[in-house]
Amino acid sequence: MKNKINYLLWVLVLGAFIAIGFWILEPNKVFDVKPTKIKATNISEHEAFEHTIHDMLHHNKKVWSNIQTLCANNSEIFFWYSQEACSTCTDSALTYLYVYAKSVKNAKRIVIITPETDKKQIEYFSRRYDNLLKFVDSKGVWDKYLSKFNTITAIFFVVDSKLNITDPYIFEIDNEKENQLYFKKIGILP
Amino acid sequence: MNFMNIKQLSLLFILAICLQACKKEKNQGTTAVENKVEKNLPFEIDEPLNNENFDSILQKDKIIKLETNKNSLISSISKIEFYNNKIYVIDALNEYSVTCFDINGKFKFKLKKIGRGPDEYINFNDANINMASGDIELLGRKKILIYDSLGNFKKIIKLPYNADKFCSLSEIRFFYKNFTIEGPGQAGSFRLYSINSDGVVKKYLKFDSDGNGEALYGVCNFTRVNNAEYRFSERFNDTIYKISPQGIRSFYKIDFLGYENKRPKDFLSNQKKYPDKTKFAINMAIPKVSGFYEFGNSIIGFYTKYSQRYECVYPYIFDKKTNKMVQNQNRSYNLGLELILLVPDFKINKNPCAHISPSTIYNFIENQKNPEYKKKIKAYFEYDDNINTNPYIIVYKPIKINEK
Repeated sequence: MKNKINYLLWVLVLGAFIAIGFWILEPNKVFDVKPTKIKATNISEHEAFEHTIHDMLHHNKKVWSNIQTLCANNSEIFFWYSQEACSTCTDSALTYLYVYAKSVKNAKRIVIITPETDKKQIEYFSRRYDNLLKFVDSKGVWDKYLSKFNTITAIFFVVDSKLNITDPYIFEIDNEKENQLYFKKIGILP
Repeated sequence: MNFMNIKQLSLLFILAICLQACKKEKNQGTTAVENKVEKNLPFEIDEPLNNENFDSILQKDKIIKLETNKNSLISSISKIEFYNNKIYVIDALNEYSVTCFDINGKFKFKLKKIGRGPDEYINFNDANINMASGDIELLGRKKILIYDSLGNFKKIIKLPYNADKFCSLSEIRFFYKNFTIEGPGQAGSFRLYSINSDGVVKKYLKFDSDGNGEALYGVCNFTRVNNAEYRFSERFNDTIYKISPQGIRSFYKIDFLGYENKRPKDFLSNQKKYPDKTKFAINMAIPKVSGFYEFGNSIIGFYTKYSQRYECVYPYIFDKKTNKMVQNQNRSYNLGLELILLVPDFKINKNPCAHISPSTIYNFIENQKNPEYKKKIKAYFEYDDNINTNPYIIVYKPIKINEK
């Protein structure tokens, strides 16, 4: 009899784990999120990604000259997003940057490269984040270089004072853990 | 394994069963909306009606200029709410803020808490003033953030689904989601849901098919009739709903005269058959209501008419007493202005109000050839030649339509 009860309890326990498993695996009801398949994981991919960013920055002479001026003395953190990036994703990334810029004394300068070209709209974006983030427009460049990777819609990277590109990163709103590790690495999070 | 462990695991099992039960609760079907139309509203949109001049129906009472300073500057206006002699300007588009002014336009405070803290938000889709409590309620991602009428944080209410717009009554809140797909592989089968103070969720306005149809973005509206009643309208749906503490029900049915049989019955709910509704509406010249505001016996708003692949938006004034459209023209004869920007969409006390930016007034003046009109426009808006100030609020006198 005791064996039978034990057996029954084991079945119940197994059932519980299966039920919990199903519950955990239930996909979140979140829209606007696209999974990224391409990641700069190995060295050659990483270098290729840096090279692409380099080409993107050099594509427009005006933008490059602007970046040279911005990075003359300090390294700058860059966030570049495409027209296709979901607003929730970009708002999330920008909030990380804004919180950092607002709360850290002598914070690194942050440059946002936006597909938006309307000056008034850029002014509104800037005002939203109390003018702590610098917005630069660069229409069409993203489409020329990164539109083939339709899963990549927003990237981070750092440009140092020697104009070297370091720490490229593909931002995805759902990769909260990876995002936080990256932000710690570049000093956005403590 | 000792007995204690087995007991704990059994409790775990019961918990898991409860969680599964909750999940099933969430997936329950939709509740039918009570179909009890109070009135059919015949909308004449082909014959120009201008017997009643727009300016004579909507007579200006006064202009309120919202104070402009470094802290009070407004980027854009999604909605204006009035409560307890305070004007709340909601910007859910550019700055994600709620700016509060007194009834004379003097700046009181700005609620803008972008951040990652418990009382902060990344952005918000919509905001309301709860007329029962005076609280400022912001609709964030699967949550409502509640601040008191002075902008101090009170609490968060978690939501089961994302939403784009909402309205708050004392006991119940209604939410509208424009997207038919909830997430990857998850079909959303309804457009509207409500949550009462006990957390009971009800879903309404189902989709008959789950195809990934066109997002109905930005085309629904909850408009306040009084402190305990809203109207709800959505694009391509000719039924206007009444929302009250008792729930939701069909209230008005708009009949576009001459267009009665143009719209297929399943046009709105069949996402597979009509994935691109705008394209279909243009091809079939199906009109729609794009704004519905009720002020006493008058209904004011916009309708959209499609012709030759163009979308044209016109203002209208409908008289409930005579059950007739009285104005469907786009121009003011008195000022020579496009009326579309002068349509009232909120109330200060019982007066209908509209808002207009100084840059629009400037453009109005610049585009006029007639110097008399230029003078008139400038005087009407009390324009002070400063293009960079906050928007002006036009307060109209209570509406009176002459019965003929």
